[in-house]
Amino acid sequence: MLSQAKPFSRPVFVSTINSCETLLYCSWKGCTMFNTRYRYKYGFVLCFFVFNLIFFTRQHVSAEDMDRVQNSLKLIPSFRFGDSRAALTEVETFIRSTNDIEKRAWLENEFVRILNSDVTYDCIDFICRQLRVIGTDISIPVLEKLLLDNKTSDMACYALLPNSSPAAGKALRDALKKTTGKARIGIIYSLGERKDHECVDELVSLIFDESTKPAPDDAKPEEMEACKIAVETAIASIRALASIGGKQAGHALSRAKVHENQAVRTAASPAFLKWADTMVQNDNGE
Amino acid sequence: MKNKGTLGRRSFVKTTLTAGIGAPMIVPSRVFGANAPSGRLTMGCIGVGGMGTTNMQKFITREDVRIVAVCDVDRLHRLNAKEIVDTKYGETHTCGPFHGCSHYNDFREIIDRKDIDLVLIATPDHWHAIPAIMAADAGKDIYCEKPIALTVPEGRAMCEAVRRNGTIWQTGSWQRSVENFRFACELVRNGRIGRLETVIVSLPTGSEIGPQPEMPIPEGFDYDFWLGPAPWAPYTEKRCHWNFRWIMDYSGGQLTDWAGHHCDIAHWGMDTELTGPVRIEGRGDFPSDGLWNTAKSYRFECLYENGLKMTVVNDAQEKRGIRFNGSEGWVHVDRESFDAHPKSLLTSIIAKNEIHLYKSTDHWGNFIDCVRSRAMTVAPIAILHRSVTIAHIGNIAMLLERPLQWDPGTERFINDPEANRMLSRAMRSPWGI
Repeated sequence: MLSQAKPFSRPVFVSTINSCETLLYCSWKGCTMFNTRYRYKYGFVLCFFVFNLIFFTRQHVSAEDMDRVQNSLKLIPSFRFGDSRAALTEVETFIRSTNDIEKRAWLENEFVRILNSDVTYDCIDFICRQLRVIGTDISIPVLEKLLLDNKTSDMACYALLPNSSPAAGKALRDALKKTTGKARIGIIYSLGERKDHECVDELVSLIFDESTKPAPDDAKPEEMEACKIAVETAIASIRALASIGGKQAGHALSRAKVHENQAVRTAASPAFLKWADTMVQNDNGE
Repeated sequence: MKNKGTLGRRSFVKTTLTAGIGAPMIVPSRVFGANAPSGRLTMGCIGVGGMGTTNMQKFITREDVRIVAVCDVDRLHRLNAKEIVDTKYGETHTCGPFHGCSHYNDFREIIDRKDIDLVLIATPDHWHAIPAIMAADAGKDIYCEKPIALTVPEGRAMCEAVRRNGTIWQTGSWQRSVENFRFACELVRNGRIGRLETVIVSLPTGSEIGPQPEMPIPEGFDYDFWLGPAPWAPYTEKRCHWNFRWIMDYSGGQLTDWAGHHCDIAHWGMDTELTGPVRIEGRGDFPSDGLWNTAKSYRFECLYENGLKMTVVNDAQEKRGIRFNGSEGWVHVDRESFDAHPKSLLTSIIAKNEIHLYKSTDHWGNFIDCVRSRAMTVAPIAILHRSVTIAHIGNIAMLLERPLQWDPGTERFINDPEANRMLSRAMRSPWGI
């Protein structure tokens, strides 16, 4: 099984041009030994040949490469910290070696298949790190499931944060409503960094939720803990709104400056300044 | 028709915020040394391991600074630091009565103290952004170790927090306060080597280590807090303390560790302190196995808009230090050496009407002086953020193994979504900025 030459892409083209700059120059200079009549004819042919040889060779993933990657993928589901990470490096090298859309889609589907099976946490960690770079809509459904689990939510955010697809934003927003505690806090920060305007209503409601009111002195430990998480959630929401910007966010931050809870008030003031910065950068201050 | 003299609301907000005078409106009392019987500034130290105690010792000898609190997630480190402080202040009674230095596990307890004016941050790189932004928002001035941050966006967020709050910031890039480095840059800036053409920055070579076993967490070490915003990972001794530098989750290797020194000096001489390259390309040798994953050897080139080229390499390839190559000579400077061609440059005098760069002879003293005067320090965050950005995008270019175009204005790669995805990372909950 051999791969096919990759469709033209700018990064590969630029890289190839840079890499074979010297080789092409030497090829051209070599042609100067021909007399003028043949120099240009054979010179261009030779350079064209050399360029294509290098360009398509770069894109060619050999059968051996594919075998190595497939063998590595068999080892990844059971990878644990402390093991040799040679198999992981093999997969990373494969990703770096090709921008072939089909090859990467194949790999992403393999990742999804693995994540849907019984795997170690360290395997999930590794795959999410790769999806941070190459993830597309293909992997969003499985990442959505990981978002809902406290143990894996952080790494799912790690993978989804830089994915500009609207589906990634929707996955995070949907998970916002289904999660609690630390998982939800991580999702809030990710939405803030993505400047997701569609979650503003939800974030505002989290800032002024009943559970953010200061707990009474005689509150039980579990009530204190619940209040603590609610306040951390509110603070995360405040910071996210500051990054997102917009009038509604500004109003919420202004109200938060007189919140009943001291910790929320303390977070709101600097967040309001940051919101103002965001508005200036977005050039929509009114 | 609008009166041309009227400053509209949008313009007002934009002008005051970008000029950094929008907030705070109240001048900090530490400017006048108010509320302190001796006019002394109070300092809290966050991260008191190796570099933390080294920096702390620079301030502890000053009569005008009192260290009142230390913080470290390793109880051994913080108790050691507390003992240093208590012993020092206990023996010098001229400082007045001293009731003991407070010690904390959680840096937020230092941030929350209204009586602390200054904060020293010497945590691992992945723990720079959060305490720095919180300290700036709390109105404290900051001395922070380099590199500025773990990622370009974190560094930018820190710059903006410092600007919004009018924070006085000193980066631990103390080479800027060393005569040889400044003089070398002045020679270059004043054309002593002719037209500057290329700069070679040589930094230490990286290391590697084999796979490491999971180990029990040492007693008194709050490992979960140490990890903080970084992805969760099992504890092993070679991950933490000094060795955080060799793991991408916490740092960027020798490259980011030293960019705040030598790349910064290069920028100083190139007169490109507030910008960056427009193209970057290179190769690095990253360990294929084991715990440590930052580049061992590396070589990448940065091309600037003005045509200058900076090459960054590890010191197995070039003599360590910074070498400025001009059309009429060269200058090479390092901590232990200073050389030039022609040799006459070594004794050249910079005339009064020539370019003189910021002179500081005491890096830590410069910070305190600027806290009082509210002047810019010799190593402000805006400049050092640009210096370490070279290392961050250099690492990305080497990992992707292809040339990248960089926009220093937007701080994004041009036409390269994959590279842009590698610029930032989600923080582990409950941490964020």
